Amino acid sequence: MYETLKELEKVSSRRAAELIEARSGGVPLVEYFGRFIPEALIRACGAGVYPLAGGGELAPPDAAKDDMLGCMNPLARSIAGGVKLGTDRIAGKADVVVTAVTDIHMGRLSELLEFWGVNVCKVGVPSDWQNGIAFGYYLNSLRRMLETVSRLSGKAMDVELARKYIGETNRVNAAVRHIKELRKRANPPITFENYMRLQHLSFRLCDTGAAAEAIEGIGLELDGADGAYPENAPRLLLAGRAVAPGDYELLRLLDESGAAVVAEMLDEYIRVSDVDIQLDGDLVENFARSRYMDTVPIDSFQPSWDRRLEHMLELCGEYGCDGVVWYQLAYDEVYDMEYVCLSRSLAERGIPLLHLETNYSYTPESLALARKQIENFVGGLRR
Amino acid sequence: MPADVHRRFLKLLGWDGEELEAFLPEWLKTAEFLRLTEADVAFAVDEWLPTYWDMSMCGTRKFIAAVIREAAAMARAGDYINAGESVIYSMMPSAAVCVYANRIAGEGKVHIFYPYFIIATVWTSFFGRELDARLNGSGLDPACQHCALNCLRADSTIKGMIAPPTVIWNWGLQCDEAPKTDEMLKRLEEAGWKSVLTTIPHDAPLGMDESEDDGRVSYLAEEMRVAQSQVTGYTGVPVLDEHMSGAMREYLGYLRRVERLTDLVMNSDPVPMYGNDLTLFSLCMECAFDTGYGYINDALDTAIAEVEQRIREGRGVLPKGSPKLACHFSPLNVPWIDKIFRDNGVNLTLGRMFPPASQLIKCVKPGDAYRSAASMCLEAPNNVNMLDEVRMTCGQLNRYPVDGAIYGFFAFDRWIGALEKIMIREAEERTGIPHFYLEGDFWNGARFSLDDKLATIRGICSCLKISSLASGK
Repeated sequence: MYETLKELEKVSSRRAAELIEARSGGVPLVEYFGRFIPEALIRACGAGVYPLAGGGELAPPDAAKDDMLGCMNPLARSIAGGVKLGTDRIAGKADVVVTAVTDIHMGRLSELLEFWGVNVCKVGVPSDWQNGIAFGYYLNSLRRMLETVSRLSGKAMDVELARKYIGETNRVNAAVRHIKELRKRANPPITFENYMRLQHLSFRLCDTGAAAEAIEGIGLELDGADGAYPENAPRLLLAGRAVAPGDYELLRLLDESGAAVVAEMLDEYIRVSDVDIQLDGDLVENFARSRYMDTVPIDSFQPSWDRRLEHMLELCGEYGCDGVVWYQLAYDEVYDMEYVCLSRSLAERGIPLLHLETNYSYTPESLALARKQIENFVGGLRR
Repeated sequence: MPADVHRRFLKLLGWDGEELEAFLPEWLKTAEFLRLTEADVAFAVDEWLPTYWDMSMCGTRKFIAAVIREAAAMARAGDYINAGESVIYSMMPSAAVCVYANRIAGEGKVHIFYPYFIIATVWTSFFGRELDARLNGSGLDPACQHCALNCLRADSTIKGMIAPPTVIWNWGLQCDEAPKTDEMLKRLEEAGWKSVLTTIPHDAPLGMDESEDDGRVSYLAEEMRVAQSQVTGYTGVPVLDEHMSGAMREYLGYLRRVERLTDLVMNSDPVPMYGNDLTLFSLCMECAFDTGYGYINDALDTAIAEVEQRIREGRGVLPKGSPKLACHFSPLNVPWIDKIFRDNGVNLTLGRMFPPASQLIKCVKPGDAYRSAASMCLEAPNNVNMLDEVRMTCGQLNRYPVDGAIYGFFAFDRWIGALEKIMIREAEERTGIPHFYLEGDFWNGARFSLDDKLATIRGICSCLKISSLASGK
């Protein structure tokens, strides 16, 4: 499994280089952030895509300190700092950066990038998702973004190609669902770190067909694999905004704690695999509907917490979870509010909850503290 | 006699004789509602108000009294509900016109309040009580730097201080936290109140003049219209065009007075009014009072006359030639900041840097009042993208003769404060006026102290005075 992931990592690095080369040959390059942005449809407009990612390292958020308020969440500061430092694989080489403005952190991050001269195209995602007019706003915003990409490429969206890529996206989703099923086993065959690496790679391969093939292959490999955790390990659900590509050290701590993280409820850096996108009719609307209406609402949507709690309880039941880890980004105020509600709701149901907070400062001291917190929590679950 | 201190308080604010005696029982109930002890009231009368407010100005006393009347009306919210009337609570910042139109349409049967804003203002500005985000009673993590106003909301709701309304009209014009506080309280308190949200994503391209963009104005207007129909569903009172027009007329009357006062104060040397006082009069730019515009307009008219008199007499709160520092936050919630600047020879002015009425009046177009209200919301600097805000701020700084501008008291606010550091660099470059950054939290004085800020404030004042000397002023 580790070898396969390493190989995929190399493929993804090559892919970034290929996209940059293709750009010099006239294929525009689009960097994007957020579950509300359709990589498949952007590609169908004749552009290459690459996920804008950051988080998990201390230097980038620090680099943004002079320009951005210290109490913005570290993910927004990381992305900004990554662009400033040029640590992103294709930093500065994209023709346009597409961001989904779901909250003020993403709104201000987008403005900062624009201020630095990055060509940014914002997709507005209203939080009042049950308001009849809000879906139209998001849909129109998506259409405008795709027109921007088409102007760059000089090509209108190729509908047949779009259908093909969306079909591949659905294949990726099916493959992810298969792996999720395997995680329901008494001893899951994949660690949480590897699962999240796979999730991140599925975006960084920048090609839904290749991603589908890779994840299907890994699923087959895992079908016959042994458990990745000690027998009878306590089972955990992890929830929060995002597990970032730089968070693997923390995930390793969780995996080495003697507990198994078998399910997750995250808003970013993760495939929305619970729903497939319809292939008939208006593909842009189908995509928008799948992200905005037909899945579990993200934290900033209003209202969302009842539905999210319901979903977490369903996951706890389906995956046999003994406890929940709330992965909190420092200064992420709305997630902290959801945590307050969640802690009461889970306590009423007797479900243990661990609050694990990060500001991406993975120093030996902070990791030791996190290890202790996790060990105490897992120890409590065993008792 | 226990009521003596309350009588002294009311007398200080202009009540007298029979009117005082008639209002006293209501004030006593209000003080109880506001959790103000006799010691708190005595402290306000003897120390806080005379130290930080220009109580020699009748206009100032009248405006403080208007706020107290609003608090008293708010304390009766439970009675209104029990009597079968409707109560709408709203949050800052809002489109005051939309909310006020409900009061007009209700003809006394619909009441509008901004309870948390009023409590926060009364406590911090007039009684010296700090809002402390650590004491939020809800379990919110203080280290997360939540907005103290939202913490107050959580705390006061959980403690049963505020009567549940018919409906809460929430506004997501700036932050996400205020609207989500509503959802948090519903979950924690299992509160049965209804809530309505008006919001728009912050996705305008950087530099767009948002109030001129048809798409944004139309969408926000539609959001307001949808929200109003929901509010009407709960109050049973339809809001018609005539109500919106009436609300707009009253709002513009208030705005014109604020502009007149601001023009007088800002164009005078010496400056005839404290920074706190000037900001106080702009309190209703983004909210409306259930007690209407009568008291506040009377206070404004009185203040305008007093300021004109001071100008004629050449009287100022500091000597002629003292530097003027435009202030991007609302100093009245931490009133000692204004005083420290004044004690060090600098006038703090133009609190919040709201756009002048004439600029907002341009947004009013015949026909659809919701479009006008939406356009006005998008002409408020704090609601829009950073460079649009810079455009408006620079407009203010170029309109009035100021020696500098100060920012930074939104250091807890992930929308207004997020990019303030680069915003001020941009504004400084465009205007050539020196800009300063003083980090703080204008709601939550508990986060810092006079000692923390004194050296910085003295440094800023010295810098301004040296600049004035150098420029031969």
